[in-house]
Amino acid sequence: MKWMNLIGYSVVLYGFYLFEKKNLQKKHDRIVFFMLLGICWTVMFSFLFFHSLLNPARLMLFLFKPLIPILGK
Amino acid sequence: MKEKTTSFQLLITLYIGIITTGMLMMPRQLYRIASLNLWLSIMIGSLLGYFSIIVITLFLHTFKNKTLTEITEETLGPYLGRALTFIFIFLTFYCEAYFVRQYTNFISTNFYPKTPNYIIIGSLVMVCCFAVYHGIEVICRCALIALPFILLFFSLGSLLSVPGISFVNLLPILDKGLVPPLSGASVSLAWFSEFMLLSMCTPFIRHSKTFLRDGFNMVTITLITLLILIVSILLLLSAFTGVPLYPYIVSVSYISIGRFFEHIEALVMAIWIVGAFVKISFYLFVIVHSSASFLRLSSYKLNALPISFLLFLFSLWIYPSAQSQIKIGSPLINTITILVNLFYPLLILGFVLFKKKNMAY
Repeated sequence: MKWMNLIGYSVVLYGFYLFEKKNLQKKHDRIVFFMLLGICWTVMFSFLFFHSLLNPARLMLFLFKPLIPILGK
Repeated sequence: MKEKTTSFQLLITLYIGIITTGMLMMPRQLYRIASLNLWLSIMIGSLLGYFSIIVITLFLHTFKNKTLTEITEETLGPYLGRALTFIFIFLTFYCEAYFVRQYTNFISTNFYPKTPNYIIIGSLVMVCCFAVYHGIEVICRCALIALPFILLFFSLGSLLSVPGISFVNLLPILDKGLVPPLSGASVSLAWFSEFMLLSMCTPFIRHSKTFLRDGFNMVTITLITLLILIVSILLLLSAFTGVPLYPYIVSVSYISIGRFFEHIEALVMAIWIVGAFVKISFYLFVIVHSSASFLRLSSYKLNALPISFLLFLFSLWIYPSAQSQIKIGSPLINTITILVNLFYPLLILGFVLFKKKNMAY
């Protein structure tokens, strides 16, 4: 099921590329766009295969824990 | 820049986002800290709204047509400025993912328990991405169209709950001193600090001369609306305000006229969806626009789709239940919002003033 999801989401990302293809005339735009698609794919892979191991909510809680008693009630 | 909108339209967009999420989420959090004096916490928190408007006006007059992220890079230099901008974008993105999750948890807990989360999140993110792709003007127009319906429903909800309210529920005032309302202000600060996001949209403002007046008026209107809504919940539910996850839903479910006008909770959902759409679209626009300028893209539309997809994944990932979202997520988001919308602009303002002072000598 995870692999099916991975393929499905990858197809969605390819769809993004096809949608924006005509607007990616500049080299810099193309590089940044592919970099963003790469980040999307990596996050998607982590989400599907390391769902509970790499939870961003836990990471943020760990980072901001000292400030929560002062700023966030 | 082709797209232009008035400061009033931008402020209306924020107003809708603040009151629709505030009326659902604020009462419980505020009551648990400030109990009966929650109205005072809202008033103290609103001071940050006025402060935000003053800071944005200062930026508007000093750096014409520049967003806060661009000002950061100009003031702090390319390395430190860009590092701070990246942190700002990431934290705002996390807040945005939280808002999408908040919306999903509310919808799935109260109305659609059997619908998969990815359908609820996906449909909202798709519509928001479509709005962002068409620019800030579309988002502001959507907010303007929704405004009369939202105001009509809120006034109807408050008026129809009048028979059940008791003003004794407000007493005693300041029974535990000033400390609980001051601590509670950190909750309302997070909502009022959202006005600071306007500093990311300054290039799109058409008539910047009236910004200060419009901004002050809108913060006052937001304060009055929140006070009416939240105090009416307190007058109706009293000590029960701090118990349910969404006290507004409970207070609205009390409304019953002639046994044929009941169960108007469905209307709350409709209003919530519109409010959430406006708020999430605006946040998404801010993230997409500031990340495009951070990445030096020729058009912000190019990264609308990838960032929306990331938002979809993040909001699916974080806080799977309403309990964890409210217990763990709310304090964290309040902290992040205050950091991003209060300390970050203050830091930049300090640097700008310091630089100006040094240049004068």
